[in-house]
Amino acid sequence: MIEKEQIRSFIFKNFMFNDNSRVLKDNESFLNSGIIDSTGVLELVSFVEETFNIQVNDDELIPENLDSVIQLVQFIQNKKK
Amino acid sequence: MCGIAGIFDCVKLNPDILPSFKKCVNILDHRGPDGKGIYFDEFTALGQARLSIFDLEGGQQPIPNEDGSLWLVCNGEIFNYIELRKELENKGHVFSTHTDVEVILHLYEDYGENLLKYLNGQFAFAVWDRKKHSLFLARDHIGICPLYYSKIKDQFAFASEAKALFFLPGVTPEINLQALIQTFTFWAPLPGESMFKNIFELKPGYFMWVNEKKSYTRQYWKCEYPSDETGYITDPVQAVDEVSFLLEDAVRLRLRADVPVGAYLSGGLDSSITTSLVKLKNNNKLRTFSIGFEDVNFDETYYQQLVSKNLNTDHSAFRCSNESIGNVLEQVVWHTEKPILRTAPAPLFQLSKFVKENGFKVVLTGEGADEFFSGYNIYKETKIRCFNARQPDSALRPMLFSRIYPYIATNSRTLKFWQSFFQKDLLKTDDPFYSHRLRWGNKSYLSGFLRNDLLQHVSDYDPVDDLQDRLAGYIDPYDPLTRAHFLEAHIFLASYLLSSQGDRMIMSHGVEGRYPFLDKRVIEFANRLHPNFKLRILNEKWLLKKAFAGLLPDEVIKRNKQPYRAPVKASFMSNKNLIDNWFSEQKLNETGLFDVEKVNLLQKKIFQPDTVVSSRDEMAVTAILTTEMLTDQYIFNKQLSWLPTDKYIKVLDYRTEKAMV
Repeated sequence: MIEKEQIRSFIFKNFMFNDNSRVLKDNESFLNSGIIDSTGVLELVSFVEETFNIQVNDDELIPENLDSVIQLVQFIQNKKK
Repeated sequence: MCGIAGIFDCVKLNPDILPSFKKCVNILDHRGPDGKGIYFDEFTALGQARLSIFDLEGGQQPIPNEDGSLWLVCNGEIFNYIELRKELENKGHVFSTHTDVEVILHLYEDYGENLLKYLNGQFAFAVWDRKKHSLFLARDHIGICPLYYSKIKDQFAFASEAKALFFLPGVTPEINLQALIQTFTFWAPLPGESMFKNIFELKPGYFMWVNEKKSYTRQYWKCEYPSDETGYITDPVQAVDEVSFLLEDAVRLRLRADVPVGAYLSGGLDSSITTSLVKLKNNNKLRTFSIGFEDVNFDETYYQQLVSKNLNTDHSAFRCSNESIGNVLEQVVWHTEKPILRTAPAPLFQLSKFVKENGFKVVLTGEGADEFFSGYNIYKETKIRCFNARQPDSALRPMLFSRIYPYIATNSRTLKFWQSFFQKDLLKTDDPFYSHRLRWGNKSYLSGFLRNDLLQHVSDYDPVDDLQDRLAGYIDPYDPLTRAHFLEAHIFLASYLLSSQGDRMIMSHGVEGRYPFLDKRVIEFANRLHPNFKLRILNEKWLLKKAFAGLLPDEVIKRNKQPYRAPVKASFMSNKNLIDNWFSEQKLNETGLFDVEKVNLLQKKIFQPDTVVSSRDEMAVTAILTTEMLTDQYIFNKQLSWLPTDKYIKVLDYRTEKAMV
């Protein structure tokens, strides 16, 4: 689960500014918890595309694919298959 | 307008306080450069820094009544003073000046605290009643003019700006952490609070009594809405007639002055309406002023020139560069006395200077129309969310958000996420904060940059719960759209718009803003309008467009509303030293409020080249920067280059009864 740790680390640094007082749950919705706003999604997608060498199509840019650590891991693994 | 200050000691005022009190008055020089006066007796001192607009020769304050038993200091204008004065003179009152504000004294003689219902104006004043041994203070209905106070043992002190109070013994500036969290949530401290501990704001629409036994505040005016459909104005002809009459009259009264009156012209609908109404009343060459931006994304020069040409005004534009925004930010914060989340006040600070340099000290301006005639997107957003809540599974209804936020539609890659954002808590339409809770979510984001030890102090504090407790169910009976209007007027308008973007910026260079849309009668009328007359489907300010279409170019009537904003990232990129200095580890440790690591990560993130910065990261940078500046200036007493030199102050010593007129 290298992807999961890389994603967690990116979110933690870029959107939570290494705030140790907050715990990021794997199934926590980024939007509902306010960790990422809608503009932040673009940053997240750039990171995913560059780090995992995949292309995220417009129709894949939906909360069901990208709104939590678990969803992201699942999405990346599916794309890599 | 002016700056006022005062101190009341219920035991006995120590005359040794006079030098400190003179400093209180002197520091308000930017509000009142035209003269300064102090009255003092055994218990009370009143002071005023004057911006002379009426009775240029004889209007010095403090002003006494006929027998010297009452003394007044007032910041502001009473626009209906001519009518009031006539009635009062017929009843036998004798006036000693030709100012507008003297009517307050004589109304007080006849009506006491009930005088407020007779006033049409913008004001914050204090009347010292020597016979009753009481101080009576009041602030206008909507909060155009500021008034702060503090209690120190047996003393009560007040001033137009908190900075004046810090000259008094026993008043020490200390950051109010809860107010900081409120500012990170609502853009400003909640009504009644200030950024400093033990300094309070007299709320808009309130008066206050202070004497040796007690002090208390009471509300005399508030925004009220019809309780059911039958209370609304539903006849469009009546609505057009009434809004035309009221705004014309509001403008007519606001042209009263013994100095020339100019107008701000933003290129938007509201200031175009007020300017066109001035032209209706006066055929002379009206001077208009506006801001143009170096950054074309913010610039409205085209529309400003269009309206100016159409109305034949003598127009001057100040061109705001990205760099200048960072250059003036420290001065801006010194004036706002609170952190700001956007840079929008900085160009207004420069505009005020520009107007002053052009020889004007009064301008009409269009604020208030968005709040009371449904100009803001938040009203449309609320309407769409309520509409979507009726069919939450509809795939088409969320597309409506693209109508009000075109950037959603232009970037198809974030479309679904935006829609998802607005669908959050969609069905909770009974929530009194249904319209605003989504926006207030930035609180935890911005507060997250504070140091953990500070956050622990306020870990139990939720500003939204606090607001709900303060409102005590007042807005619950209304529908979500009406609640949204109330919240905009109650929190955003007075505490942010009329303060950080209004009074504090315009008065920074001794210029007075006058606001026809905030005439009490206009607001009361707008609050009785049927919602469809304000927001017709998704067409904002429908009634204003309908009523004033004949006076303005079609392009202005039909253009989409462009919210007034100023560049953030580009401004700070042009001023890299500013951020490097204020976000340095040394500086952050000195002020001791923000977590160094978090701030450094944010700094790296937003200053990466070619990065699109989210608006909440821009807000975070601006909030941190201006909080640092505020702390440096007020808590650590940084030497400031722009403080006024000592000016002559006329002192009236009334410490013996004999001295009474």
